[in-house]
Amino acid sequence: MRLFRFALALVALGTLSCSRASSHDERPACPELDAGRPVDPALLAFLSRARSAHHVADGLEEQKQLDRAVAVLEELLKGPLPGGQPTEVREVLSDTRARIADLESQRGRFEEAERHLQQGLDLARETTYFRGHLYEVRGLVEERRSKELSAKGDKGAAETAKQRALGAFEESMKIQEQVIKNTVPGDKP
Amino acid sequence: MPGGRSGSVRSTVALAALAFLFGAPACGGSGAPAQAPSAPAETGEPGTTTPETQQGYGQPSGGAAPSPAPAATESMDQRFAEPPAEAVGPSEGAATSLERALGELDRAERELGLAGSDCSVVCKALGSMQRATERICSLAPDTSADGRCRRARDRLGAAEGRAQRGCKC
Repeated sequence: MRLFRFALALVALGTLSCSRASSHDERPACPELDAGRPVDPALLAFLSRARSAHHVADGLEEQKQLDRAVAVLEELLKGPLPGGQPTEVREVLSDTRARIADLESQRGRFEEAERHLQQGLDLARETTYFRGHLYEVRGLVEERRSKELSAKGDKGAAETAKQRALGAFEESMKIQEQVIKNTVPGDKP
Repeated sequence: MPGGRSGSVRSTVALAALAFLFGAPACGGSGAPAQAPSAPAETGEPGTTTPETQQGYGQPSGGAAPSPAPAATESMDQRFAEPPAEAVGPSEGAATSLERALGELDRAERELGLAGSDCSVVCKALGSMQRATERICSLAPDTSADGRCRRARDRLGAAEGRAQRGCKC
């Protein structure tokens, strides 16, 4: 029964997706199947390397070895990178910079964290989850900075950092809200 | 990837619902009626009247024909076709089921319109909004109507509603 449902799902999905495309325009119904688009081996290798680097960083972060986790992720940033910097590569790089910023701020290195965030934002210029996530991490970084300044007795600077944190979180929400709106269409008229 | 595996399970369930909905009429549910029995030919020859027409409509074959025995009549009545649904009207249970099924169909249609990767992005974006709201409300817990926390919660609620129209996060 499960096999039947799986087969049914495959057939229906293929039929619906292909027929829907072909009924609206003159393009091939399933161009990616028709053309047999090649997969770039360099891109695959980079994505695999990125997955491994983040996995290693997970383990090091669990062991509180934040400096080593940062080092592993920075190696990923140094390359090699696939030519042309396709979207997937820019997304991985900006996400990696967001993670490094998070780790650096946990170590109290706020300026390093901000530098990575800015470089990540330069990579993720469009309204995507990744750009929103960078602002979310900026909010975390500024919140940590605010707490540290407050602990040092610098109330004014702490409040300024707190306001920057709030602004970054709100900017993050604005972007993610737009991402959802762009992906899930509104009610039918 | 969040939502990947659950997304495929969801799609399978949605497709099964679709298959059921489209399959039901073919099984005689509410689809086009099967070919209506043709009227008996007026040949005047008793031998040309088929048993189906006799059983289906119970037309007396004429004054000369003997009335069937009561037992035989009951047996024929039991084999009569059920009256059409339009004549009787849908039962309340059937209407509810139909409404529910149409709702499921609508939802399945929307889910099919979004690829699994789209829902993955939506769910990640929603997760990010939830975390940001939590932090905003921690930093500025004022819940007055124009407070930052209240505005963040309202924004999150609207985004959750929209996301749920296309994805299960």
